[in-house]
Amino acid sequence: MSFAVALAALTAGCADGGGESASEVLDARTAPYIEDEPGGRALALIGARLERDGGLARLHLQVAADGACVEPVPGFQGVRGSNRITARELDRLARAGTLEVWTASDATPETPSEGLARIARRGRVPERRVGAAGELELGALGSEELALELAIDAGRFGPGRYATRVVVAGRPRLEVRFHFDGREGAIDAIDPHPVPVPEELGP
Amino acid sequence: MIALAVWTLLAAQEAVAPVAAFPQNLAEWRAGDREARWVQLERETLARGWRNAEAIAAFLEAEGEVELLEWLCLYPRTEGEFGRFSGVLAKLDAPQWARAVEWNLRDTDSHTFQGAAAAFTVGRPAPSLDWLARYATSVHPKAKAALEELRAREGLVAEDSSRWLPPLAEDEALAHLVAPGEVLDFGNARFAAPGATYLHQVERELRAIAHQQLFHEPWLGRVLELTRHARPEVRSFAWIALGEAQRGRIAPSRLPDSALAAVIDDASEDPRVRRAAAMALSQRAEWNPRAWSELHRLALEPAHAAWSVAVDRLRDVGDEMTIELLDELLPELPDDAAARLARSTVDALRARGAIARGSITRTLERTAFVDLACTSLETRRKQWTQAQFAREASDAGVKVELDELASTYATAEDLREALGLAPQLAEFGARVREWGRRLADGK
Repeated sequence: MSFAVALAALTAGCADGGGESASEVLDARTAPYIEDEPGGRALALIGARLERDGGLARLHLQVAADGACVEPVPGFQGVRGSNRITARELDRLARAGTLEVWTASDATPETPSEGLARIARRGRVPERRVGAAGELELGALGSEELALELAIDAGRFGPGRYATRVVVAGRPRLEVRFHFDGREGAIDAIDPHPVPVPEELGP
Repeated sequence: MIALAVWTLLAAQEAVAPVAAFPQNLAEWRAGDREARWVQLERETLARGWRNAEAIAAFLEAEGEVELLEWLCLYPRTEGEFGRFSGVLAKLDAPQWARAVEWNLRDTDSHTFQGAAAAFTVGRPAPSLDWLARYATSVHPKAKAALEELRAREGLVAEDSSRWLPPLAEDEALAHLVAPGEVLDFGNARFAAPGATYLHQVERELRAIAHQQLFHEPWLGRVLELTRHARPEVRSFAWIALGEAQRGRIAPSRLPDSALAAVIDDASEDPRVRRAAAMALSQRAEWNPRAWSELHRLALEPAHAAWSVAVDRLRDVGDEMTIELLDELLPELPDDAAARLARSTVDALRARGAIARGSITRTLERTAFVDLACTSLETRRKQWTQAQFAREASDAGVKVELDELASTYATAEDLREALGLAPQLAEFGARVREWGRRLADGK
């Protein structure tokens, strides 16, 4: 299922919006999403939360274009704490339907299950501007309402070790590894630059 | 307070400019020349950013406005919409397409230059192979790389591209920056006067300088010349553009910190220009401890024309000491707007916590600078540094880092050049090492 389809399903109220009531948080972590260039900057904030939901584990991810560690687009316009290009990218992904979420267990990597992603938060990115008469405007907000946060529900899983991959246009952009033994579990790693996606994880 | 007049931190209350049809007045659009139509586009993007980009692209495509589409590729506001507008140029098979794509290979935004490369190699490979080969000696190195990639592609046969214009020369794309003399406002004119140079033309080309990082000669000299132009708007735009130079793009001797400080502190200069110069200086504050120190000096002078710029930028480059200083300043601030600005910077820095401080090296470079330069921050910074590291004394990682800094720190070449202009800073590297040793030893 593409991101666009998943988004539509959520919007229509067809997706599993419950599961919060009986769940217990087993582990929660955040990590900056560092660009894969020299002197890499934090372009986004990744959040991962593993919950026990009955006898199953459930993984939630957030990808945010804002957060204390997020560095802005270079130049005077960007304000630390958010990244306009990341927000535009998230927005573009939401529209293009090229984002997919796949989770595979280490035991059966050939049969991954697909998760759902949705835009959790929209808003305008703080910026500085220069007006037509050369005057600086501080503390402004960008004109465009963009996607500030994607929320991903990777799904529910039984005991085992897993890798959840966020794939954009066929390229893995984020991998979160976790384990669950039926009662306890933890997030083992948040890796913004996983190795290229194995063929078996593709749709 | 003038400095706060345009500060609008309560951005949450700022209304979103509604999406409107583009253009709002078709008769007006068609009544003017290309320059008049461009001014309408500039007003649109200034008010709404790229919220209307799709409608703009569709309209310009329908009107066959290939020159304006090219300008949108050459002179974008913010990161622009190169992919969208070059896509329309391709759809129209405009003669400007290849040169607009080639120009954007210079862009520093990876989305833009990668998109430009893909436009040649993926979008229209066969005619691109012909065009790039025709102009192989004059195109950008990244275009040459695209040419090599296309040449190596098995089975690709070049298609005639003679209808496409040759690559843009910088002189052509930046023509209005060459000794502009009198600069006029276009206002609501419908036609550009022959030979006239307008403010918006200078601004758009300065944006291109910043986007493409064209801080080599003759452009650097021309932009510096514009900082002395008769019109304050031009001077302001020129300082903004210079501030966008990434580290290493402008030799410190060509634009020393002192030149910026002189404008910032010139009470006879237009406040817009002083604030623009402060913004330019602040862009160096991440790596240049003198610029960082200057921002703090300005932040402690609420009556200074550049006060709000300094406080606003400190949210990006300040540290825990900045929080202390601004906290103490709050009761002295003259009005609510100033207090809101200072508080928002303090809040942002607190939210970032230790992230704000950055590396130990950077922290001690800043301390060593104010120590050697005997700035107004000297006593405070030294006390703060000692207290800060005393709190981290039990952290073995910090101790290791301090030990290493004490024995191996060497001042980066450009920083040494920037600071070396002042004789009392000749011992800068030694002072950083000394601070590292002192703190590692718990003194």
